[in-house]
Amino acid sequence: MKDTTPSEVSGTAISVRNLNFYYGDKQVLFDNTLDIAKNRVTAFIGPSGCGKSTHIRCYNRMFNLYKGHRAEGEILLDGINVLDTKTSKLHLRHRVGMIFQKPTPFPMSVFDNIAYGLKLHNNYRRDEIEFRVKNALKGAALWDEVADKLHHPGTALSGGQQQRLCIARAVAIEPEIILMDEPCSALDPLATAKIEELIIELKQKFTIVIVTHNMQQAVRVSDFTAFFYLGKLIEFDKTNTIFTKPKKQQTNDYITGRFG
Amino acid sequence: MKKHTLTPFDTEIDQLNMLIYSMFKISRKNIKHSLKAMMEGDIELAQEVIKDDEAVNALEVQADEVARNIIIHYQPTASDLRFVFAAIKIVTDLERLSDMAVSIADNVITMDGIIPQYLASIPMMQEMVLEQLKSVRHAHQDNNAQLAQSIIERNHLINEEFTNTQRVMLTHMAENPTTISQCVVLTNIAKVLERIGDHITNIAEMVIYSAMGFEVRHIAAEDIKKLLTGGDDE
Amino acid sequence: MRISRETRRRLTSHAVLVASTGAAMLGIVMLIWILGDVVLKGISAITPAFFIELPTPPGMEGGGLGNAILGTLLMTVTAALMAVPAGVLAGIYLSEFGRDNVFGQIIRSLADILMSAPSIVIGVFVYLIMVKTMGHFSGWAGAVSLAILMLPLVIRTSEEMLRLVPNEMREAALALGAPYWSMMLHIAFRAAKTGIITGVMLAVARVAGETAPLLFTALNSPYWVNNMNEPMPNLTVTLFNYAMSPYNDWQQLAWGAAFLITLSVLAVTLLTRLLLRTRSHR
Repeated sequence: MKDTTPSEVSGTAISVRNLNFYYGDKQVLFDNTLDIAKNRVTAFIGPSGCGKSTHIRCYNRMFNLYKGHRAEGEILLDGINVLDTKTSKLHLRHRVGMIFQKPTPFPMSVFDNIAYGLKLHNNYRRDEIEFRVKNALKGAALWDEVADKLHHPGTALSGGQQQRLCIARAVAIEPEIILMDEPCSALDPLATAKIEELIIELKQKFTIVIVTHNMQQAVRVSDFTAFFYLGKLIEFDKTNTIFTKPKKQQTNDYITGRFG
Repeated sequence: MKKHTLTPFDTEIDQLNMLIYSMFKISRKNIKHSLKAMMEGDIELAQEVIKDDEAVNALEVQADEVARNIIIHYQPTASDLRFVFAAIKIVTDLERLSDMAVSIADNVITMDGIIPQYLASIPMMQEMVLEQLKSVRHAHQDNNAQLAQSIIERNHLINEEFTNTQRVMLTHMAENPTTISQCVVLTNIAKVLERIGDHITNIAEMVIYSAMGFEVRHIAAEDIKKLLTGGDDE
Repeated sequence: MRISRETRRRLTSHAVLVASTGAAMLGIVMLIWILGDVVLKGISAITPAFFIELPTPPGMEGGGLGNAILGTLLMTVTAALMAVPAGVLAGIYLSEFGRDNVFGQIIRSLADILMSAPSIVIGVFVYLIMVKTMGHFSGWAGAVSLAILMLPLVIRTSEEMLRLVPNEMREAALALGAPYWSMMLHIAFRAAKTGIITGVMLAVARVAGETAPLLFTALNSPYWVNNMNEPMPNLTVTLFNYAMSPYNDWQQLAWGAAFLITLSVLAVTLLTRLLLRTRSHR
């Protein structure tokens, strides 16, 4: 890559080297290697089933939940390979948060939703928890809307608000990296726009990796874009470059809608 | 190039290309006729050229409309984006080409039917310009950056011919004062031909951008060549 | 006479409508008849004495089924205390770890079989393992037989309710760095709470009206019994005995027992429906 690499721009948050992934005997990720830049938004695009979600779920070892799912290679966070079974999953997930496609508020009040994560990792006093919950809601641009509803159930919020609640939940525990797996797929355009605005703000404090089906969204919010196809990383570059003059014909064909 | 999954997208692109092709054809015809009118003192032909310019103006408006539609409907990216961006610029330059032909025709009318005797390098310039125009049309149709680059390289020859013509005309005017008014007009026409060459260069620069993504406007010709051959390896 | 296709269709539709409405009406009529009978005949037996007095010999004034009510309550609660923890834990296993392994499948099949086992067979089984070995009937044996009846219901409901908790919610909790047990306890369980409670209440309702198993295990008693180690008085066996007796006032008490049992089961069922509805409003 002749253009500046992520590490030259702002430092590297995650280094992926030769990541291979298997569902049982079936291999679905082939030799993925890339660097995620710190305090930037990196978007993963590609057709359905190309492996982009599978890839990011390796960063926080979400796949450990399922039998037969296996990752090989290195994913380095501050030089430590997170795939090594010796690294603590709980510690890892403190540093690497995740937002899912479907907003999933816990069956408790808005306040408790966020307090849950806080209590997992620290023994805060009551007033400290209140302070942090408020901050997290502010950080997720949700405070104004729920300040008087803190003790209402999380499920009583609208879809867009629920997703921002999930984001507040994630930022409350102060991770370094936030992974987002198609966070706006289930939301209407206005809610989507609010979350995109939030993402752009959040990157000042966090490193963000977002998987998206919506290419315009990738263009709007990301600094770097990775194009995946059939489990392989086809091209990875600055977003502007990928969307104006991609280097690979396959990338161009996918982006311009000439696939298939 | 593979086809778009969305067929209407390809239809709109073809339509834009057709409009550009038509503009090429009419502009070329106008330039050729305006120069013929000059050499034969044919005022009627000159007036026809002025009238035919309206067709080109209408095509420009239509082409811009199609380009806007493509942007609204399809949010083009990558190669498609470059294509539309370049198309909009090329359409502007093509309309200017026809305006240049009108400019020549205006000059012919002021000559009032007199057939000029001393043409200096103007026939030469005419050859070069028409050749460049044909080449750049091919370059655009085939998205051929190499061809476009060679067009940019050759433009300096037209400029040199103009400088030559200017010098020669001045000398001629000094020696034959009765031909002064004629020679002034002819020098004007030569200047217009030089500017036509520049517009053709603009079009070629946009072809390179569309084909390869390199922004080569206001870069020296040798540097462009280096960019194209250097930027080719992955 | 030529009947057009459309007319034939309309006639068929009407005929089926009449038949299905009739069948539904039949069911409702039966229900109302039974309930009505129980209410009419039993309500007069419900007096304060019914709840606090011992049964008197036939012919004597007064008397109630206080001991039987207490006995049924004691055995049902004990059965619940035995079946619910075991059942919920089994449900957790099946939902979290036993979804596609052989062991889980076996447990699930066994629970299903147990669910359809005749209650009298369960009674005889507990008779063999407890009454015979202990040498006497007891409240414990009664409670155990009821617990065995409750167990498969609790297991299956717990499993189903936990399965309903979306996987994304579990993943969301784990992604925050929660250990598995915390996710289960604070998140998954909490989400399935209402459903599991409903399942437990339904199991209790089912078991409250059982007679056959108690016949071989707790038997019955006309006295106040506090010791679970002795034969325990209970409403259902009492109903059985008194209903078949030739004495009017005993029959009256039997109707009262029937009324009380029916009312309780009805109340529990309605309560669970209410609980489920408020849950689905969220």
